Amino acid sequence: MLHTALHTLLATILLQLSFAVLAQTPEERGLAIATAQKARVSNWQDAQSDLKMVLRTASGNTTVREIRVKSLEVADDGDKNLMVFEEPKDVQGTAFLSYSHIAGPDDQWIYLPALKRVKRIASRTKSGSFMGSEFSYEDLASFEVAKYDFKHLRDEACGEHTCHVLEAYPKDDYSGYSKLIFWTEAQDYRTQKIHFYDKKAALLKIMEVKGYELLDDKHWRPTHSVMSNQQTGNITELYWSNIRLNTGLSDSDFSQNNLKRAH
Amino acid sequence: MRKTFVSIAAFFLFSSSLAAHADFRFSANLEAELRYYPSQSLLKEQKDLFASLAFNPQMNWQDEQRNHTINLELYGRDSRPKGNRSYADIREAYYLYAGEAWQIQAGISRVFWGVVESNHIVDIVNQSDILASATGTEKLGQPMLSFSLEQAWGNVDFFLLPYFRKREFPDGPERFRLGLSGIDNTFNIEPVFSDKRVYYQSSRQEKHVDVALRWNHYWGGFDMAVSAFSGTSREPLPILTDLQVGPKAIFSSYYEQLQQLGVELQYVYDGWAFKFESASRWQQSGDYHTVVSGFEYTFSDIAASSADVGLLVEYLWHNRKDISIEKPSLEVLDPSFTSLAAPFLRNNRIPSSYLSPFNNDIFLGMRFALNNINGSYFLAGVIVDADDQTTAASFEGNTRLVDNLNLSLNVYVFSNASKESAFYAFRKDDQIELKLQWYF
Repeated sequence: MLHTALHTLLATILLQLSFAVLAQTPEERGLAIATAQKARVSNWQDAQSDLKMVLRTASGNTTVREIRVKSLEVADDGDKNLMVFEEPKDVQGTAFLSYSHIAGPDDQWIYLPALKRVKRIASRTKSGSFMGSEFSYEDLASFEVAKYDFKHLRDEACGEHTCHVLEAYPKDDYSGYSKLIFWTEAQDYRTQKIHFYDKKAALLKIMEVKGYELLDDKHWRPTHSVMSNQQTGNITELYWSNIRLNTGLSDSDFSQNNLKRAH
Repeated sequence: MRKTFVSIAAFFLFSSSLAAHADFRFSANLEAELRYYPSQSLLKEQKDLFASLAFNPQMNWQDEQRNHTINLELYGRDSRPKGNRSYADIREAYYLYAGEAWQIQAGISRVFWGVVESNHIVDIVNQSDILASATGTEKLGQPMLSFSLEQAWGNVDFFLLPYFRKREFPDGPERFRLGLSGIDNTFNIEPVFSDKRVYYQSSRQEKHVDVALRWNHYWGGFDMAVSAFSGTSREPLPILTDLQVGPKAIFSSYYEQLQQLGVELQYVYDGWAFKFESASRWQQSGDYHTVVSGFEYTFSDIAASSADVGLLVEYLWHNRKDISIEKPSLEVLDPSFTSLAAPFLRNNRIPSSYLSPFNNDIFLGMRFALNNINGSYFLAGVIVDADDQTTAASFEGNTRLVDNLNLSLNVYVFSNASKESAFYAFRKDDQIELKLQWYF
């Protein structure tokens, strides 16, 4: 008798659980996928890499930027990032430090080596172009789930994978975008493509993410991204090399003093 | 001089032998500059057109753990026609050890303090190199021993400055020569500035050991710094040092001792940056307070382009009184002149606006960054004295021509200069400067 009652109870619970899954709204499903993705790409502690940006204008000019990048994961908040410019030579030694935050504006400083000056940057410049490229400061900041509202659109084939297609709406008024659409491969949560829509809801940029490498047997990192501006025809390609994770960086590597001696 | 170059050469060799083991970087820039002054000069000997070449090599070495850093930066310029602008300086030559949350540094270096844009009143560690740039953004290398701490309650920097660098002025055919028009001329004596000898309040002269301390911290969008300095003033006071036939009154630079307390505040929110900077100075020639405060607003993505426009407004104020130079002058004058000079000195004071022109002034500025591939930007600014309308305006444009070549145009214009203002001596020195900079 007791046995039957337990069975009934279990069956009821299971039924309700699966009902809950079935009843998930597209918003809840979007958030669940984004949260799972964030969990999957986290726990690398810190990273160092060399970044080469190739800028191509629609008129056919090409120029190259080289940047050394260091990042530090911060528990329960956005990452800390330090970028030191190598090329072009006239800005060599210029360093950009940002502490991104889940809530509220990011803290950003720039170091100008010719003046020996550390300058705070107004938070609104996040939508501005990073060094004349098609990437904005915002595009280079760490991906934080809490910065967006999500909506799951569909799952569809993308190349050899199956992708979750998610819409993300930035919560920050000063984001340069009204909407982003992510194509994220469903097994390892590797983002394949992002569409960026401007404030007037027109398609502004398409980023394709390629060349994923598995680091330390658990972290997938892209080595090549192509950002094409759909309104101007300009293209910026990013090539990441010499990527090292968990190298023992600490908060003091991301201090204002370190900004000055970063070279 | 030769010894310096031998030691620099030795340093190069030493660095290149280290290069194999760690992180060694060398970079340099070569600059070709033309300066043209459209107005007829005040002095006969001054010329209208100048050409110069400047060379600025830098090298930096860090060990693999990034604890040890050695940095060297040199600067040299050759300017024709020749005056004081042909010179060389060791901008930096230091060793730095970085611990986990502290660092110690010994050698020659440069330090910047401050948040406002129009006038850097707190910035006092280095002497300004006004030969390189009249705006005071360039600095002479300063020998120092410094210690820095990074704590949860902020950063602290402590400096020992064992040697003083005097300010170097344009001379001979060059423009921006110091004038002393503000000194009353009832005695019909022509005041002339001479830089041949320099006088100090401290008996240790340039070997007086200055000390400086600065604490800075931030909370969210709010940045704050408090600094203190005790030592030789970086700004010379003109004092009477000789009387010559003509009659001429010869004025020389006198560096007094001062104590300075500086405060810097900044709050950034959205596109706004609100700034406040104040310095209080206690010195022989008279204590005073000075404040520069204002804001900057940045408009991003102008007209759907990636350009940024920044608008700047700052108010500049001080309560410095006119300066008596009687005491230091009488101390250094040849006794045979003291009785002659005494009535002249007693009756004359140097207007404060001659040394600190920004007593009630408004600065308006605009920054226009195209954010294009060439990194092109324009800066324009004007400072107007609310009392006498003395106006100094500047325009700067800079763009990359190709990857390693930059072109810049700088224009300075002075107008309505009051006789008592520091700018009066520059009223014929409106300047157009064209620079080509090659980086490698």
